[in-house]
Amino acid sequence: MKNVSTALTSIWANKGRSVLTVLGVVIGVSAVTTLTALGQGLQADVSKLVQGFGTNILTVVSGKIDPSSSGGNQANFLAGTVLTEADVVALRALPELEYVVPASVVPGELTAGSNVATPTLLGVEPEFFQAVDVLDLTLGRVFTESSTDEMVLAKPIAETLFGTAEAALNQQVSLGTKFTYTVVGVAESGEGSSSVFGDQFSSLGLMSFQAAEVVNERVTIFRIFLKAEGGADQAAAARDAARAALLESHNGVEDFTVLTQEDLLDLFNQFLSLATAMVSAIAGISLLVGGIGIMNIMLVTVTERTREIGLRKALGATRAQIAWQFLTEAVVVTLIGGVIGILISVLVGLVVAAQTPLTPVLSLSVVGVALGVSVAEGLLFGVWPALRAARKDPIEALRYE
Amino acid sequence: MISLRNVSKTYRTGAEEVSVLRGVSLEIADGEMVAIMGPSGSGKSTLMNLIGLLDRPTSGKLSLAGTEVSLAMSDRVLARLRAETIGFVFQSFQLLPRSSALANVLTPAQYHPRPGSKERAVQLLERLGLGKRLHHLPAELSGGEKQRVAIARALFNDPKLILADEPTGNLDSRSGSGVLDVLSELHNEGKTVVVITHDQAVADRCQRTIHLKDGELV
Repeated sequence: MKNVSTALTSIWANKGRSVLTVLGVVIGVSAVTTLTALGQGLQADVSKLVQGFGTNILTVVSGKIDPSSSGGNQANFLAGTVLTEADVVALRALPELEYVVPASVVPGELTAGSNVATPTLLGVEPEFFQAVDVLDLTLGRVFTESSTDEMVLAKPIAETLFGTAEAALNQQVSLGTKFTYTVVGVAESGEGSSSVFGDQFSSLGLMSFQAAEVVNERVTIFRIFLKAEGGADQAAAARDAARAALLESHNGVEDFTVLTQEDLLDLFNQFLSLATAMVSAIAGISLLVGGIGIMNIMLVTVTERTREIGLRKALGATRAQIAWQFLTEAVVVTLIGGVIGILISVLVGLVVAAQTPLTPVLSLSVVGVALGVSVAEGLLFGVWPALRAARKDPIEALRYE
Repeated sequence: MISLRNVSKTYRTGAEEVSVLRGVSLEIADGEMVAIMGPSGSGKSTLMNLIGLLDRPTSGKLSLAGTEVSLAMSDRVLARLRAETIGFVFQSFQLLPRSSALANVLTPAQYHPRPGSKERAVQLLERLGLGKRLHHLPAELSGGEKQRVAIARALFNDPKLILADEPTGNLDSRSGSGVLDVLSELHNEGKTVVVITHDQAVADRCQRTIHLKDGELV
């Protein structure tokens, strides 16, 4: 305890030097805790999205993706579609699936008078609204299956084009010069939508699958949404059944992927852990450099206080007590750095929460690890200077000028 | 109190061996006030370091307050013996510059805590006429006051032996005389006082003077 107050006195006496010394620790700790907090916030957000979307929702996409490893060509995700109507028929025959909803993408922008909006235009069957819980129809009705001139708009798109959702109802929107649609309904992202990824639902324009076929002049299936029969625990079984059925209709070539929401979450987590690892490596380097700085300053301190060490030995201090005094000083320095680093990341978190839809989560365990790392750094880089202090010959130390 | 039998100390500087003390034997009884005199290089500082357990003899036997000091003694045992038996007073005071007079006197308590430390430190400082200087930093004290703080610190653990290395070396004659008055008073109370000096006036205030020259008693 006395060591701590001695350490604080010494640190305070060399304020400028102490500030520079702790900077490395401050940067390292704040970088790691801030990024971990952001990552955990993002993760919580994505988990919420997945749960809201329904954990028994599966998505069939073109290309082979292996979510359990980083292998597979991610570019396939974006490449041309290989999904066909035959696949849809094969999937609909499966008892494990409650809904099979193919979706087409329609390029282009919508205009109403002088207003222009650029939604993601999807052609889907009306069942889409039953299969995907996250989108609630709040006004009007769903387009009919065979309609080619009806559309449901996400609320923000309706507001862009017509001012309010109510004003949009039963109005005409144009897609290019050739196609005109009546707005029959307005939809909103319901509960469980992600604050960060909510955008993809709030910028939807939906028409019937057949309407999309008319615009595209052929059947294109961008992806197929599936809803498993039963609860979330049936998702894996449904995926395996869907995969087997699709393999058959693709003549054994696995050029598609059936993703559960868990798989999507895994993909996301994979990316996140890669990012975290990179930041941790950078923070590790910062901590290493900071630690070397601390060791250097502690060696200077030990030399400066040679006479004090001699005196303390004459007054009855053992070598171990001298070593502990200087080790405590190193740990106090790094711990102060760690606390400042955590405070900075709390501040950054508050700013991020206020300015963006993301809410960073600074968990207690992250704070604990950050403090632990700070202490460990002081111990690690303080040992050598402390031992040098302990080994000083009291006679020479007392004579030192 | 102090007994040296044929004690030698040799330092090795590079390839050369330098004998600083050669076969010194002496006895200092309990309650004596003794001056150790000699020109610089005579080995008197080395002798003080040996008596003060800051150094160990190359050969010979040394015992202090009935305990024979051996090479095999651990650092912990030596530190304890030092703390309990010896109070050091140095020429350059050796006060911690950022600590108050009171905190300086309390420094020994960091290593050998005892109950009522603070009261004892205040008492010692008051006794040495520093009752109004408790919270002053060393830089705010005169030389004589600094040395009296150092003496209070030396007395903190109530040691039997006061070991003073040129205690008046950095003081004007009036403050120096005041410090010697304090040391004489401690001697009168029964403490053993050993003063290392090259100043005859200081030696004159002691009962006995041991003269050293070229590492031998003369």
